Amino acid sequence: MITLRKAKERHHDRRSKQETWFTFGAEAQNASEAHAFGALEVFKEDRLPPRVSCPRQPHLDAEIVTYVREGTLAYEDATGRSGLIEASEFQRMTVGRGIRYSETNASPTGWAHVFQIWLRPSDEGLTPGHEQKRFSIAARSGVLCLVASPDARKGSLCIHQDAFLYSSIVAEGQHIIHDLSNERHAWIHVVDGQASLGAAVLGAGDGAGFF
Amino acid sequence: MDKPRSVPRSWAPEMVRGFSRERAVSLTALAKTEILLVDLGASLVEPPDKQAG
Repeated sequence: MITLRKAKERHHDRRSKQETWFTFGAEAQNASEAHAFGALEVFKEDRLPPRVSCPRQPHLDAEIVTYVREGTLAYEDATGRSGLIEASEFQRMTVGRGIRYSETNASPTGWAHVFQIWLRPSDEGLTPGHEQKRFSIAARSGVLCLVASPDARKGSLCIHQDAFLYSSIVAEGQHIIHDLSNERHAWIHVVDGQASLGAAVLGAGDGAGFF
Repeated sequence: MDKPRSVPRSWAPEMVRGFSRERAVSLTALAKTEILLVDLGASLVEPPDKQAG
């Protein structure tokens, strides 16, 4: 079974010039928007103007993967850790038993284009922490590049859940197949471009779930 | 498992050996396309028919 969620069906939140689109998420306004894809509880896209911060979203027990597609994101948490997430970098943050953090577009002039994926972790009360890694455009072109996994296989980030995150950039006409065993499900999100999925055509912001 | 199969565009997904059309994410780029894909264990997602019940 395949379910589609078109870009226009996402909850759109605009604060000043900042724009956020929730495929799923805590800020969704109605039942259909609020419905997560199982442990995939938040899937959001942010476009941040220069020097603007993401709204803080207090939450416990979440594995948050942040992907900076364009621009640079500065982060800081209550433990004193701070740094930058550059374009093509992915960061995994374990919120666990709780951590305060903030994220800001570090550029004084350019916009940041950021995606965040929040997963419910396999255990509650994990020790907060994070790691980040660059997966270059070249490394993600023409292949399904493994970005995060439960055991950090193939140099991926380690997430505390039975979930695998892939990123891919494919050329026109290229065909991608990801095999799913009977014990697995998947959510695919089109970040940019246009692709056919059976009889459906998906554009930027569209998503599909495979049960 | 994470290696995509690049096949000629004219091939229908169901013609790709070793994959069941029902159990594979099969996508053809109509332009340069970037995707994110999350693969989740069965226990983490409840199908809609079970949710309704």
